[in-house]
Amino acid sequence: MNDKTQSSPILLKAAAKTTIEKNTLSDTQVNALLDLQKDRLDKSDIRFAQAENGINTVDKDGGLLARLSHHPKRLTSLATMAIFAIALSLWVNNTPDYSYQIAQEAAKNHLKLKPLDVQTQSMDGIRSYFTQLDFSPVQSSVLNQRFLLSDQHLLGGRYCSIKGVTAAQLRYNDVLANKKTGNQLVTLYQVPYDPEIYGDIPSDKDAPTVVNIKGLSVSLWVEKGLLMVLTSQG
Amino acid sequence: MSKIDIQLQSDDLQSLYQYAMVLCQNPSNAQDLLQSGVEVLLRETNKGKTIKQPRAYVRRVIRNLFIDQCRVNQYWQTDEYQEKASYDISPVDIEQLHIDQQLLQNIWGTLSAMDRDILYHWAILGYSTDEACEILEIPRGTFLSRMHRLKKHCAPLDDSNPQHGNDKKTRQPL
Repeated sequence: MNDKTQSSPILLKAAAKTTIEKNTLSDTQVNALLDLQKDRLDKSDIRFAQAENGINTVDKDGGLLARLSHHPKRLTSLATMAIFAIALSLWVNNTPDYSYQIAQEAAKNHLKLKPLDVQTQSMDGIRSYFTQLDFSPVQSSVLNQRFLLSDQHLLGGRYCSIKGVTAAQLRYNDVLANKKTGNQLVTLYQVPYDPEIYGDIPSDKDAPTVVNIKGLSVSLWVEKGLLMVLTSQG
Repeated sequence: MSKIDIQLQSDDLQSLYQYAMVLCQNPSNAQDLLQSGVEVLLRETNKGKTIKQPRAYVRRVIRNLFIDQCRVNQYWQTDEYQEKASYDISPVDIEQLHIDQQLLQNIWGTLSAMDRDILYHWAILGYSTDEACEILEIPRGTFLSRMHRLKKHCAPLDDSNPQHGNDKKTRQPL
């Protein structure tokens, strides 16, 4: 007996409908999708009830971060603000103390007391020696008036550097100090002043910035476009 | 007690699954599409959006997701397709077409997703084929030429056709 039955043609619409409707989800699959909806709606109800009762508690499904994760734009803007705030605080806190760094370097050079490249008692002699500098060493009026040091106290000079910039190191013999404490050498560094490298150094001649470091007193001021750093015994 | 009722009941889910199957012809992919569609619906509802026709909404989401997947795999035909051969594309009286159920079952998978989509809108949702083409933004000429091919399959089964009973070898593949 032949089991194969010859089906009769039917309308395309009915045939298409039958073909399409042959595919069905199992009860388990349907229930899973119904449960998914119920689950979400229950959570929605909890939030709804909390809002109605004015309860401002942490969400049961994860708290602030979870709530924000549903709103990527808010999360992004909050993260941007946080990064900006952190960067600002780091920048403020990490702004280097230029005066201290300069003073530290000047004190280090002063204590090493390397031999002078040129021995002279005149600023002309200094200028004629320092030909490799991109500035001209000057006679400092602050040095004269405040520290009472002039050419007659000058011993000579040598090349050095402050924060990587070539500088002139002039060495003086402080006669007045000598009378009190014996031999005392004073070192004056001159380097072109660049606020980006050296920070904000006051140009007030009456009030140089003074940093005490390693038992030394380091005075900093700006004069005639040059940063002056004077190191003496504290 | 929920403040909002479940939006998609069992019959909605079955109907949407069938639609997903029409498009992708793969049970696992169809389930994924349906679940993604339901999740989009729930997400939008939780945001406070009022969706008046959730079944239609999810159907649209499923279609968009399917097209996205096709675009990734580059098999969704977005440009108008021009058949090499010329067909008579005068309106096909598709309502009167007869076909063997088993034959349709056999060729169903060989139809393009685009054509199955139109047939779904026509046979299940009750739109005319013209309306379906318009809603789905599918070139009508392309669909009609494909329907002519389908008609050729149906022709031997049509009692009014004198060629009834022709050998199946003469039929063109769709």
